[in-house]
Amino acid sequence: MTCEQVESLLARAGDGTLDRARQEQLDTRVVTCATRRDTLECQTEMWEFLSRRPSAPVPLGFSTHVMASLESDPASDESLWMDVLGWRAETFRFTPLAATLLIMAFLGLRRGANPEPVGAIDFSSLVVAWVVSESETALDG
Amino acid sequence: MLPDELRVAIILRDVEGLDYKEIARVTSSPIGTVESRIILARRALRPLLRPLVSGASEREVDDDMRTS
Repeated sequence: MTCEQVESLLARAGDGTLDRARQEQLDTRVVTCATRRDTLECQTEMWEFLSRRPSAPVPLGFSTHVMASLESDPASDESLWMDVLGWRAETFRFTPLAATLLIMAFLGLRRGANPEPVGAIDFSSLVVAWVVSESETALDG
Repeated sequence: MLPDELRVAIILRDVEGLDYKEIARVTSSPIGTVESRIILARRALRPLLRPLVSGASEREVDDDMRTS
């Protein structure tokens, strides 16, 4: 039996599904060939490890526990009322921008409705000017 | 990372426990190809799983010592 023929038997030999006749042929070959022996050891080792790999079943009551925690989660209530109102979470991201625009619009309206008052009239200077002009006309007369 | 065809072959054989004929049918490949893929996949996985394999065998020895 050649090395190539032996190679094709190694997978089955590793997981113990090789028939007896071929197993004997393989055994005689493996004794004399270190490479095939190492490959066979690798096949057996990996098969034993992977096939014994413990399955991890979900613990009893796990799904009930998950559902209970989902139902008691306040975030789920929040999403419910937001759904009812037809809002989306993204809406709140624009709140600062909307508030800024509202404030600017409000300030702009106020400025338009109440134009900035003219500076206060300085009556003292008016009186002085009037007195001066009166005295000048009196002198002229 | 194992190539898909090797990964499928070794999962079906070593994890799911299908026999070679079933794997050949499922993957539409000749049995010889399936055998080669399994050999290659186990060979590729060995260096990666070596720490786990040795760890598992050490734990088994510890368990045996505790029970005895």
